[in-house]
Amino acid sequence: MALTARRAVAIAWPGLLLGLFLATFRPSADGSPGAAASPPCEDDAPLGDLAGLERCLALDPEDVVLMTELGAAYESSGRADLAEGVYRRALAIDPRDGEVHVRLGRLLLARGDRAAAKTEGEAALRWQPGAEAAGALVAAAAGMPQ
Amino acid sequence: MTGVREWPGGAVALCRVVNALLCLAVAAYGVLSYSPFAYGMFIKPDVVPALSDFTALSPWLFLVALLLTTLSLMPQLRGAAGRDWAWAYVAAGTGAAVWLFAVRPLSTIGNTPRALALAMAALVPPVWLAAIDHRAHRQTGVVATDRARLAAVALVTAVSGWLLYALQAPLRLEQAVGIDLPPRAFAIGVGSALVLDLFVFSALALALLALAAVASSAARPGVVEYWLLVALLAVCASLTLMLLICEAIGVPGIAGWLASTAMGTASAAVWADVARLRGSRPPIDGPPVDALEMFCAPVAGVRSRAAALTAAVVVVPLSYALVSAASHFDWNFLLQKLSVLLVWLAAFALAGAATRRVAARPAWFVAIAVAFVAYHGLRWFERQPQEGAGFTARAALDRYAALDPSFHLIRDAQAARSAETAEYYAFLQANTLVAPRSVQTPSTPFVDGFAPKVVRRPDIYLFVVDSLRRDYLSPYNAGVTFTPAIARLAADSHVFDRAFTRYSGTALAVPSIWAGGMVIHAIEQPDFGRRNALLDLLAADGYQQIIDVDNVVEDLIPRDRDRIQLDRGRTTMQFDVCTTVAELEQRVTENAGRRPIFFYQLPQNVHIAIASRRKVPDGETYPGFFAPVASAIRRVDGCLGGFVDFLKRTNRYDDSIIILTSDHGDSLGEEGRWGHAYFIVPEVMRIPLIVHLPSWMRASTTADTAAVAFSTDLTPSLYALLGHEPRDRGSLFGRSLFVRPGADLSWRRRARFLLASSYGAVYASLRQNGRRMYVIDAVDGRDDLFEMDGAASVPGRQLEVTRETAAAGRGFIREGVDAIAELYRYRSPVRADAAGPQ
Repeated sequence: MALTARRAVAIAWPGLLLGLFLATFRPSADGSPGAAASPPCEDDAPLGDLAGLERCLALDPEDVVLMTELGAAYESSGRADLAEGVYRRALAIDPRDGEVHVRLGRLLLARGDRAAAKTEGEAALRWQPGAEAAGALVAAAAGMPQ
Repeated sequence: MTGVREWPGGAVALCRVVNALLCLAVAAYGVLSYSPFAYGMFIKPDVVPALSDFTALSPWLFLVALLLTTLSLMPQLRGAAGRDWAWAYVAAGTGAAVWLFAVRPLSTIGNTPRALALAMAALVPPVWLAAIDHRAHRQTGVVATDRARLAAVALVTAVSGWLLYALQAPLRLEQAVGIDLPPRAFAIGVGSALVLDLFVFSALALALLALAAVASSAARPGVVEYWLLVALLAVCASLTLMLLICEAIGVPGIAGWLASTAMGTASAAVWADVARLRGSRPPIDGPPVDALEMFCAPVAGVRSRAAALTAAVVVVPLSYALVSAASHFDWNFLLQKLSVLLVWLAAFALAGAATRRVAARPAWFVAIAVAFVAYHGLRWFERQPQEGAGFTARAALDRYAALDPSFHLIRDAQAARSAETAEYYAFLQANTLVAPRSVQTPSTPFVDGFAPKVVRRPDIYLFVVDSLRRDYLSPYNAGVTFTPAIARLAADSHVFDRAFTRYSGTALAVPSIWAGGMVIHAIEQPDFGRRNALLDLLAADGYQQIIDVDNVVEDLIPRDRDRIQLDRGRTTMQFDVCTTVAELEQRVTENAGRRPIFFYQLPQNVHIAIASRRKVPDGETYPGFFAPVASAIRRVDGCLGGFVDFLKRTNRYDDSIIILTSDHGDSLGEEGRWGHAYFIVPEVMRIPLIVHLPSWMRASTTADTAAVAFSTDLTPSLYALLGHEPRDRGSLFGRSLFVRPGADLSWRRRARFLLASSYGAVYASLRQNGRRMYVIDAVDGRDDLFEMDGAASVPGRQLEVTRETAAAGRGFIREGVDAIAELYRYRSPVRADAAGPQ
């Protein structure tokens, strides 16, 4: 009887330990990506409010699309200086964004800086050849009738 | 007595190995042919000419193997034990040889169930021979293995396997592209590899101990233990073949398990056969042979120092050579991982030969406990931030994995899957490589009816250069000096800076170009005529088609007598832009003044299987680039430039739309990756897209060349340029790159797009104007996030995946995959709503 129990233990312990090794080989999935969801900043729907845009931009400070939205929101709320700062940040990251060049150019034109506005319009045209908005900006900056 | 001198056991074993290798190769070919994906992508287009040579030579190879086998069976044929089985084998083998010569089955099976049947049949001879040899060579006196020896052999294998690959890692680091691994990160990688190896082989030690314990209850414990070891090998081989190969080549389910189990069992039978032949005459003096020694006999012999030493000397360079040879043509590290498993098996056998006497019994069991603790310590360490190091532990280990295939193998096996993730993977897999008969192809026209023909219809030349990378062209990378002609063309064209393919492989990338949108995930596109928007446009506008009909396009377009087919008599892999443009120029000249021309070609010059075989001419150097591909591109540049010059010379240039793009990019050593398998990575998904328009068209359109663009936009762009305003069919479809000057251009930068692998359940979402790409890989079980910006010569860099990013990415991918299923009325066995909340 004692011998049988010993044999059972001899068979069981490596099997049990093997089970422990296999069970703990893969890490727990709790920390794996996608296990929890709170995606408002990753949503494609416009965030709408300034605070939400600022919060999301703080999470991903190089998101040019968010910067463009934030700049537009600043413009809508009459804070052109903040909008200009955001557009300039966006262009520092992606100098090929024609839309931001045009938006910044319009701000500069409204402020009376025609030369700078024209430069922005021309920069937009480099990436969007023939684009009407950029062409109109250049024309307006040059004082031509539209 | 048979009167026939018996061959030495080693010689007979060699015959068995030769025969087994041939039979396993035939079986592997059968399984590859059975896989629609492998057949369509490798065998049909003749990507690997060695495969064609093999099919042609296979009857002769079988005949040679049969002859050798017959000679080695002479004692049995003359009446020794196993006589009847030996005669039956020779008779059946002769019949099979006649059949092979008459039918040439490897060349004719195609992608049919017969391929799987042939694979199964090919495994019969080695198993049959194993049975004969086991009858002929009786084995007696195998004793049970000492338990400490079992543990010691497993742990010695762990350390030797680790050493083998860790010592090679610095060499691979020198050869690799884009692996930034500072010394501290390298040290973390090397140390982690040791811990992982010890953990895995400790588990093996426990499995061996469990088998030994079970065998100890038997009347002949040594014999039972030996057969349990063989059975363990069969199970491991079968699981490896299923999880590593069959799932990767799209042979899942019952067929996959059948093929894997049969091949795994046959491999174990061959192993046992060779062990029996090499170990059937143990030395008379000395201790009896134990089960482990018998099991290790195929590599190390029995008590043969010379054999063990020779094998040890061979394994070291072999481990390096196998990985190096496979890396350029590998399929997502598959061959490299397989080579690691073979090297581990050899190292185990050698460790078994080297550790016959084991002292300090408890120390080995303590080592197993230490391995367990160290492994979990490593897991804790991996989660800790590396203060001031500039990298995370996870990033360091990911990069080190590119240098050490054994570490890579274990790390991939480690991938954790929550229940939701497992369900999500099941959802993706159910929508991937679907059976063509289970879908209904919709008609998705871009226009309700074609407008009257515009007065001027330019010629259209569409060059889709297979595997051409954007950063190997000077318009995209100032460091490139070998594409002057393309630079000249680009200076007069729209160069789309952020162009992507929707699919990472030719099989779906090409149909998506012709359809102008994403397609059902099936290698064979059923009833594609209903979605062939490009062909509809060409027909409506009366274009003369001049086409190189490759193995993908031939399934997409119906036969048409009116079509001029170039490169007749060449296989797809022989399509060379230089020979084609010479023929094209002739056809264009002949067509002068008739209908407008549409030309399409998928040249293979740059494909790694072609470029790597071509010798880089003396005197050409390409620092910073993979020379064979760079040299091939230089040649393409010269020939394309010559064609553009021809158009200019003949006053056709300003009446032509010239498009230069690729179906996908290619990995050329980035983090150890080569080619384009089912992975989605920046260098594969980013493509060049250069579109030259006639000046009269350019004047009336605009385009945002810095906004994200896709090769699926080409067909709707041609619609728009030819005056047929295409409707917006949603985000799965392309939209015209060229719009009226006042049109909104901003939507592209804000939208999110679905991308997919052509060959596996790997999908991606692309957002932030093509700057961020989230990838979910249900094959390797991982999430990745890439940023694609910065230096032109760096296709992209990896970022940490946050839960927020993964949740949003998975949600978007699920919607996209479901929308494609809906479009094709495909009823997935796993619905999106069953895939849980991700």
